[in-house]
Amino acid sequence: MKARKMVLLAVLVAMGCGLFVLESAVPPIAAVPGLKLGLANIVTLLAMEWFGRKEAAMVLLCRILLTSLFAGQAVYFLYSIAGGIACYLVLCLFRGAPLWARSALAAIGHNVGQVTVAAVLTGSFSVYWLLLYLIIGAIISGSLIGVAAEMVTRRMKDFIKGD
Amino acid sequence: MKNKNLLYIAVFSAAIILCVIGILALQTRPAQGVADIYLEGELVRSVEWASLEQPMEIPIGDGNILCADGEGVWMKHADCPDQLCIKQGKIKGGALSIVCLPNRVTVTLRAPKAEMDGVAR
Amino acid sequence: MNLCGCHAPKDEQQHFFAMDTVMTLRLIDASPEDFKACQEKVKELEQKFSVTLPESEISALNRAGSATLSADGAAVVEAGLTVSEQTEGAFCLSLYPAGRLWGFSGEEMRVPSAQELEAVRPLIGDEAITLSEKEITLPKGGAIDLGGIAKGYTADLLDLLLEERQVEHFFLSLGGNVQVGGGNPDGSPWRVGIADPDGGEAVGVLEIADGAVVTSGGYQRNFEQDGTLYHHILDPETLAPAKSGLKSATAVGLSGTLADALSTAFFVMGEERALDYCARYDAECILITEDDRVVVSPGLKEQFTLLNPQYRYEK
Repeated sequence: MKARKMVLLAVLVAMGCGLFVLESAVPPIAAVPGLKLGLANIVTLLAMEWFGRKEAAMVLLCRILLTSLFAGQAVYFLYSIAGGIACYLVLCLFRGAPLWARSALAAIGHNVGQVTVAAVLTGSFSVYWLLLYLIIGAIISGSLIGVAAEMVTRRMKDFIKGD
Repeated sequence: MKNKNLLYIAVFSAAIILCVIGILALQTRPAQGVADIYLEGELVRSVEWASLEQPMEIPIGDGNILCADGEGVWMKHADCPDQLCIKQGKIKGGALSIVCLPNRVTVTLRAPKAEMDGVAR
Repeated sequence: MNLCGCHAPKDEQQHFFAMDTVMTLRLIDASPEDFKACQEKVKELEQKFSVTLPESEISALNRAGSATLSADGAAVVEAGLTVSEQTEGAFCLSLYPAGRLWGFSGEEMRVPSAQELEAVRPLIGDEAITLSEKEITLPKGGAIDLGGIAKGYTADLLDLLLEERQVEHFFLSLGGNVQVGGGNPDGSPWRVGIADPDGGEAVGVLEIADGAVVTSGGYQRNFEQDGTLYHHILDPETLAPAKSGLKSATAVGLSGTLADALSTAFFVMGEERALDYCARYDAECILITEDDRVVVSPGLKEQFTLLNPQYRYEK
């Protein structure tokens, strides 16, 4: 792998961890611990956009492994993985969509994954009603982040491809 | 390219509107008079909170105490580290449930099974 | 009144507050005047019977020691005295001096001392009350409380009123005292739930077309002090909350007045004595015991269905 690519991927992983820690500082939006904004998933998005699915999967796995060392309880790990995988799958599915839209969709997927984990852990489906609130947040924040991602990507287009 | 952007803007706007409608619909639901208490995924008890004339405390497992009065139900005490279930406050119909994830407790509201014309109490 | 008989019946409910509780009137094919007449009758009786309203005839009686009662007052006191005698004092109109000490009639609820209770014991006892025509005399210092029978009597009067006004089908709930008539307009009997003393969903359903269903139980009104739960149904023997092994007792019959008084009596009497009474006086009851059994008197077995699996019911 080219050195440039490796550096970029490493930066993305680091960013992902940083964002995860950042959003852990935000008080939880609902009575379900571990339910996060999913900011860290932007790096998965960027990795996929800049390089491809394989790289995105790598970034995702590294990010999750590292952050689960930070978080105290195993529960957070489950949430992270569910959110991350759901997000990744959505990104693969919607490769044709504009970047900002993919970000929003990924955010939705992330939340659906997390709520599903909550439903399994509590043994009841009633937690799904939280999605009504979460989806609104996911679309808005996902779109905004997606727009930011688009701007970053455009600026860095040459650096990523070039030599 | 422009078409795709417009398409997604339309789809997302529609989704947001649907969610808002859903939330409003939940708020206007009449109070759901029965609370089903689940511990580790199993229904352990049902409480018809809407017909209580005085407050009632219900222990759930070892770590939680649910309180119910004629106005709603709320988690009074929990030994979980995040205390989120307590911060949920009193629910009676808009919010569907109170969840204490660490203790695997869910309290879900529903309407009573109306097989009767009234109850002698 | 509809002649063709092929209409969808008007099914309306009204709720209002009276006698310290919520009253629900469900009348089929009734006019607004019918509802109004019912509400007025309830308010009228409240003015007569309430111990907490100083202008009521009962409050006046309690202050003076004797009085001339209205027709309603005399009727309800006579019914109460009869039940008192038949239940050997388990139902007692004159418990008010003790009830006041416990604070259940609206004051602050507290545990009175043994001395306080013994001091009022001589004032209590329905045998000492004399009622002749409408003249009533209480023993010196005694006082009566119609709380255990007033709602039932009110229900009976509403029953009569609705009959007069040709409202055939109705389901009334006066603070939980159920009085029904005519069955469901579709031809089936009314379905009356029996409350779960532990706050869960109804224990069972009783099918009844006409009559009264009244429940008494410690769960209805109680307070906790130093870890012990004290409820509002006093045992006239001990002047303390009755401990008869029952969580609730329901009396079922045609008369609301009797059902109201008997539900209290049954709760005080306990399973054996209550069933005994039912056999002797042709009454019916549904008892829920402390060990989660549901006991139904023979005459009701066909009409009762268990709903709540947390209770055991031997048919």
